Amino acid sequence: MSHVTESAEKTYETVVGLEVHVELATKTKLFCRCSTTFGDEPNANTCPICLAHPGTLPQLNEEAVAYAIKAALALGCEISERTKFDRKSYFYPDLPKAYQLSQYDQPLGQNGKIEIEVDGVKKTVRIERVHLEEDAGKLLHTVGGTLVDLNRGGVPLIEIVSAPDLRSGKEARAYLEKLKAILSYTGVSDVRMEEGSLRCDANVSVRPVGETRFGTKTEIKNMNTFSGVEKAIEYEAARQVEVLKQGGWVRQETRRFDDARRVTIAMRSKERAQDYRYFPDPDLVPFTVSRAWVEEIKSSIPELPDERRARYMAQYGLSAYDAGVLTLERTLADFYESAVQAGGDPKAIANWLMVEVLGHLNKENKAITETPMRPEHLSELVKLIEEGVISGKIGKSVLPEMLESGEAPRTIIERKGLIQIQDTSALEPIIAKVIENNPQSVADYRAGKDRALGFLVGQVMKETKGKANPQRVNELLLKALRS
Amino acid sequence: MQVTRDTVKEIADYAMLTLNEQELEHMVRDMQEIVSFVEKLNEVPTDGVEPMIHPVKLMIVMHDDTVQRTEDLDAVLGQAPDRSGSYFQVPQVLGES
Ligand SMILES: [Zn+2]
Repeated sequence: MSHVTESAEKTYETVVGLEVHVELATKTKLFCRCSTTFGDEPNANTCPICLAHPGTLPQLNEEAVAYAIKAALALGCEISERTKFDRKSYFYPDLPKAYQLSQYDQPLGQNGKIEIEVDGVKKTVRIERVHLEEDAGKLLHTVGGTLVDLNRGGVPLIEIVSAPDLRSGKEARAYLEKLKAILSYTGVSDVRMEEGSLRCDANVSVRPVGETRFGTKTEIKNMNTFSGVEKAIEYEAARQVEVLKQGGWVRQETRRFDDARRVTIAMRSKERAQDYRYFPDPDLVPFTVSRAWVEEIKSSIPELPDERRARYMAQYGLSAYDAGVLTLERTLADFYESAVQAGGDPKAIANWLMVEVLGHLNKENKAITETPMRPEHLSELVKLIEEGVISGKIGKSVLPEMLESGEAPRTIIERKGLIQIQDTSALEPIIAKVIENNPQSVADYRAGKDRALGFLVGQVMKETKGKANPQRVNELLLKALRS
Repeated sequence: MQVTRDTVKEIADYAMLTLNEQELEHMVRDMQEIVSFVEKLNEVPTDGVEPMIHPVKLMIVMHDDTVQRTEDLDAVLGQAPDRSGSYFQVPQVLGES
């Protein structure tokens, strides 16, 4: 769906391409064996190689190459047989070599795609390239000087570049969510946004609807939340349309998004285009990716979100929306699947998981992996309700305890004496008592006021402290009233 | 290719070097000589020749994914002119990379 902005004379559409950097889940850096652990003491994870001491040589991390190939394959890319690393030169203290090792004209993967769905409309977003590169260090600007922490310097990243196929902030967000899902399914990255392991730059332009050429683009740098990307794109597109409507022109520049003020701000503009003077790194020889290796990696790719979603719809009868929510995170999808395998109606389990369990966890800002509740317990809860042992209402009341303590639902309801009274002989005296104590309602019901029945059922439920099966109470009451 | 004062100024700028008038003149002459020398290569017919990325046929050697710790952080930091705690400290830089 195109995002269209109205103006007096022209209607504009937004054009977006994204460049996403994702940190790979390797234990060591791309060209040395320093640890990639997050949050260690500054510079604890450095060595002569990642500090660029003279005389050192980079040695490529095989696992990082394997992860990058796996990611590229999961994104539908072709894998280059011959590939190499290039030096991208720039001077800044976060880069001790004064160049970043990246891949320029022979990226590992090319021509992939991601399927997204926004407001029920499906769309294919092309991926131009996936390449490997090293991260830079972190700078801290203080009054006394600039402090440099190179723990991050040399950590392997993949850069994933989309074609300019996105037409709104919402589509960009859907693309990022799908990308994150695919990467976490394959296990190549933890995709921890709060640790900056996924960062996004957006190229944004606008053009009159019907125009096939692109407008001048601006680049919004370094966003690390999905909602931030969505808002930044919407804001930037509106700003550009405003500039054009007033007869101005869009300047090609780099901007950054101020999330609090919801504006994009031009960064110091460079007088001329930056020249990174790419050239092949002579320290790392070009290398061949064997077909056998690619095939081996391909066979290790698990079922991906789109496939799993389709299967959940076909196999468990879930709606497209529900199957989508349940498969966006692999851990959640696995939890659901284990619960269903333990028994109970798949649709009911999906409902309980999405509404009650996620509702409760979201309130506590927790993920499904952070509760001691086991999938079999959710299945057991649903079965207890299906069998009429407890009501749905009681189910809801014991769920928070299940999530906190990890206890089985049966244990909790037995301890608290919450099992429904199904037994006719136990209910009959209570019903008789309620009929005796409420002659007016009984008379009303017999005079044809059906609402009076609901009141009487409520009285029985109150007497049993909610433990009676309402359906059974209804039946027995009707029988008693008719006699 | 003609090496002009502007070419040299631009290259100096990329390398963050400041050249005075005399150095600039010298550099223009010097670089023109180098470029002319290398330009000789343009005369070689290269149709159908694959670009050579590395002169020697070598097999790439990769490392496995096991961590090697740096034993002495102080020794590492001691290599730098200035430090603050376990950070390297450099003169204040402003602006974006
Ligand atoms: Zn290192």
